[in-house]
Amino acid sequence: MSEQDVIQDSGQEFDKFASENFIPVTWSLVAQGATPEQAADVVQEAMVETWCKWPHSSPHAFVRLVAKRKLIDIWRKSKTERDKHGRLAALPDRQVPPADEQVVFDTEVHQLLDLIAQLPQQQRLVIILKIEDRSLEEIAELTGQKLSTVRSNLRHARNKLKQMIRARKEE
Amino acid sequence: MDNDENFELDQLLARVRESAFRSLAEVIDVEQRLNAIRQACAAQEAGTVSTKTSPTSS
Repeated sequence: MSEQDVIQDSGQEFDKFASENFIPVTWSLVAQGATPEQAADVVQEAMVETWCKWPHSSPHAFVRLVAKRKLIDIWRKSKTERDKHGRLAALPDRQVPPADEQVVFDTEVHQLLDLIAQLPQQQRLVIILKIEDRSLEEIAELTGQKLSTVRSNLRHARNKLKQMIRARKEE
Repeated sequence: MDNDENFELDQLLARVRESAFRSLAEVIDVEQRLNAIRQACAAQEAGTVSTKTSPTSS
């Protein structure tokens, strides 16, 4: 096989990876508080960085890590801007993004996201990946948690969600 | 009771996955994003190939 063939095969493999994972990775960031636009932008950049490292031994974990770091950078810059504006006082503080910048999920998704937001961070991460239908082994790889920790976090997250759903029904 | 709740939760998570992914696909032009990734990757590739071949091409 020539070097060109290897590059072409590698390109097709990456293209499949990017196509299959763009929405799931974007979802995981939106579920953690990003706007769809922010999430899609950082996933796009993270995919390009993943290609630079292709073939990667753990592309799923890598692309998520890069995307999350980029998102945190955006949030930090945004906070710095807000703080600067706050100190100047004469400038208005930044507003919450308008509703049309938020994805229009249906009520059930919004309600579940509200409940997920109340979970501790590690449990939140695990349940967001579970919604993607990831296996326990995959969640362990993607989060860097031990399998036993993933099991425990998932059990706690499920119990808390059931409790909150029960309480909501009783209201 | 607990089995019912577990079943309900599993069903809820599955519905949310389907609905959330569909909603995201409606507001994000995935094909356009993928094209942008392909173009950036092709540019990277061209850069890499030119760097790789430059020593032998001289």
